[in-house]
Amino acid sequence: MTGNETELIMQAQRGNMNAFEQLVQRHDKRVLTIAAGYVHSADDAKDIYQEVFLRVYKGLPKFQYKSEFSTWIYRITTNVCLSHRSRRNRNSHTSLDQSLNDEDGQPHALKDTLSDTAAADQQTYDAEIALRVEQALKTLSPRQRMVFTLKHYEGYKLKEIAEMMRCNEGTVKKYLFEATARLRKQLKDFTS
Amino acid sequence: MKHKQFEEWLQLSLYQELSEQERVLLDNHLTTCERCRRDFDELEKLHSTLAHRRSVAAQESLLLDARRNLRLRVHAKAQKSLWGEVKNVLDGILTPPAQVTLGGIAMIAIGILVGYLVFKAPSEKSLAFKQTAAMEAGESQITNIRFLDRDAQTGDVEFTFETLTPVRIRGNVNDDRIQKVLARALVSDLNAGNRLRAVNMIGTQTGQRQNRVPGFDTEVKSALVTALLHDRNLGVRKEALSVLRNYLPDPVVVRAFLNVLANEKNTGLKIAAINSLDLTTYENQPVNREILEMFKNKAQSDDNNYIRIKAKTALQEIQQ
Ligand SMILES: [Zn+2]
Repeated sequence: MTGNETELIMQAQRGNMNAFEQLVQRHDKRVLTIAAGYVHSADDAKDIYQEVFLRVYKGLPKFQYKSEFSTWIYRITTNVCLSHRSRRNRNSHTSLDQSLNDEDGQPHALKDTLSDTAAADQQTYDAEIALRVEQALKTLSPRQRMVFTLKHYEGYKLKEIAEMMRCNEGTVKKYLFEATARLRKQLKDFTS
Repeated sequence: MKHKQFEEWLQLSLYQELSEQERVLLDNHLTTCERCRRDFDELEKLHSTLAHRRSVAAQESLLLDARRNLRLRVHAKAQKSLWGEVKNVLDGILTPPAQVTLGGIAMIAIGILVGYLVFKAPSEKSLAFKQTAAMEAGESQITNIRFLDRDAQTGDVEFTFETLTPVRIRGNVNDDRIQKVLARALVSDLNAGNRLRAVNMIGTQTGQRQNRVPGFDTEVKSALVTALLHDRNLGVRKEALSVLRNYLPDPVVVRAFLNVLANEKNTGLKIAAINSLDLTTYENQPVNREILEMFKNKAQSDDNNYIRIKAKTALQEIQQ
């Protein structure tokens, strides 16, 4: 933590809004990126962003420098992500993703879905794969998905993820391996 | 060494999470083990499949939008917490019957204040503050309390606060000091009727807006924006919108209206917001991009027919 940041934190703790905004802007891009990587929806990511920084705002007077300020924020972020329920689920709208599922929830083989168009339109094909990837990620448990998106898509080190999620590296690896195994199974038609 | 260990190492190697020694061991193993090589191929295919997922967070506008919402919510929270703090200190230092009395007085004081202005202020030109020594009479409000220290063992506490006696104000509604009092009532009064009267009063002076020094009434404006976006009472939100219209094309107000379009539940209010935004006005302004983005979004996906059509036609008009 730079001396400059400590000064900002102290000012914000005394109620200086300007200092608070500066602190937010130092870290919020990463918060939003983590959230968006996890929920993959702009609306949900914004919800998470709001909740994270309102918690930061509320918790700031009690922040005691026991960890890096950034670590504290990212811990709040992973916590909020893990307990987040998406707007879609809350409103019980039919998810777009379900259009590719059978009645019993099994994904179609991609070939069936794309029989007429696969050759014609590479873009559609790519979009369909993207959709299938998204579906597969949604079958992961929240912790598996958190670890996987942080590692695979955001490129955090295992050690950093362990710190963010307050667990040891072994546990992070365990979630990562479970997630990968599951994704391999779900996306078999593309990998074998 | 077992295959399972190597399988895990294969995954970690793709994330550069192996030590040099582990990497050498894995490479050697791969030269001799067909199964692990196949496994490695599959993993690489999995990674290229996963790469099809598109990033959501890359857009700068998403970040700006999130910041804007946060600023408004934190502002609203800061205003409200004043009341929370008063209540906290009362909880700490007063007996229950006294709490009720003091809380009541605090609310009535602003009620009287706003009510008095409604009937008297427009016709008055002078401003006169008259205070009485109400502290002794037990009519003080406690505000801006700041806790400095607290010892849970001994019960000693240390804090500072300001006392405020109920004040009668007689003055002109165009006076900035009057405006600020009204703005404060608008965001902090607990009674919806008082908030509505406050916003009405603020609205009565907008005719003279053009002559004013820019930036002079930021506090009033931000109170109005807070009311528009966060007041629980629909009437107050509507009135705030109609007063704020006079501030256009101020970008802060434009963004507030965009926020209404994005998040407001009430359709009437959304319609009022979209009707207030004339696209041709903003063509050369920085806020233009955000407006166009919102209109495109609304043209495609708003639940309401009118709003979709309105957004679509507005966009068509500026393209001609
Ligand atoms: Zn092997």
